[in-house]
Amino acid sequence: MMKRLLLSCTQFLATAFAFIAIVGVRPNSSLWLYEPEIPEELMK
Amino acid sequence: MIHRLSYAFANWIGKHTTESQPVPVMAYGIEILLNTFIQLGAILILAYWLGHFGPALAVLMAFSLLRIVSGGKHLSTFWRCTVADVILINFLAWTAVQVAATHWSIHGPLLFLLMAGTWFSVHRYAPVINPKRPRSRLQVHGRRYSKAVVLAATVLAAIFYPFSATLSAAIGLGMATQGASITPVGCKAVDHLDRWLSSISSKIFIFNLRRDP
Repeated sequence: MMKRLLLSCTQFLATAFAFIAIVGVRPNSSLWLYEPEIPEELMK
Repeated sequence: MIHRLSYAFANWIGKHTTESQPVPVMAYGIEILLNTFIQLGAILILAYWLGHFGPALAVLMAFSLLRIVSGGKHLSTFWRCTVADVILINFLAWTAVQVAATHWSIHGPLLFLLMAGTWFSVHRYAPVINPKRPRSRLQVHGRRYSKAVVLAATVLAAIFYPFSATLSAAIGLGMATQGASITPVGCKAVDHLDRWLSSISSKIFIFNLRRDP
């Protein structure tokens, strides 16, 4: 039961973070004066 | 530190899920989220403590919205950026309060000049393209979007003026700062700031090493 809950939580987090990454890489610049290193996978 | 923390969390998610999202992509998303929360929290908590939360929020929104579409140079580490952002936004909010306190014959023309200067700056220099980013609509139409943002902000500042000159000044100063940062002089200033903060942080690091027994 707990294992299945953990699995669904991590799946939700993985999707949410990947979505933020895809949306975040689109603008000209990040909101602030610093931007993280962009991964190769998002350069396509 | 934030970079390593993001990778550690993304690795943990990668191990515990069947989702086929690559770990570097998740780590990038986590880092964006952490950066945003930490910096937003630091800026707004200090602004609340100093008693200029409203102007700081207006400066932040004007500066950030224009920055998303017009682009700009970055500092090379997260902590340098956080310190610079916290000081910059709060200083601009404080300046907006001081500017609004002057007679309208002084701050009126000043705000007009700030908006006109921002318009000229985005018309001439936006968008500042980052070649590391994938090509997107914002990069192609960055100048048009930047002009639309400046125009909308000018209209908003004019509407707010009869109710709160401080908010109008905050919008004008936030826009003008971002507008100035995309000019060649502004880009050089950001580079100088980065090097200066780097020299300060290396001095602090050496001082701590000397203090260690």
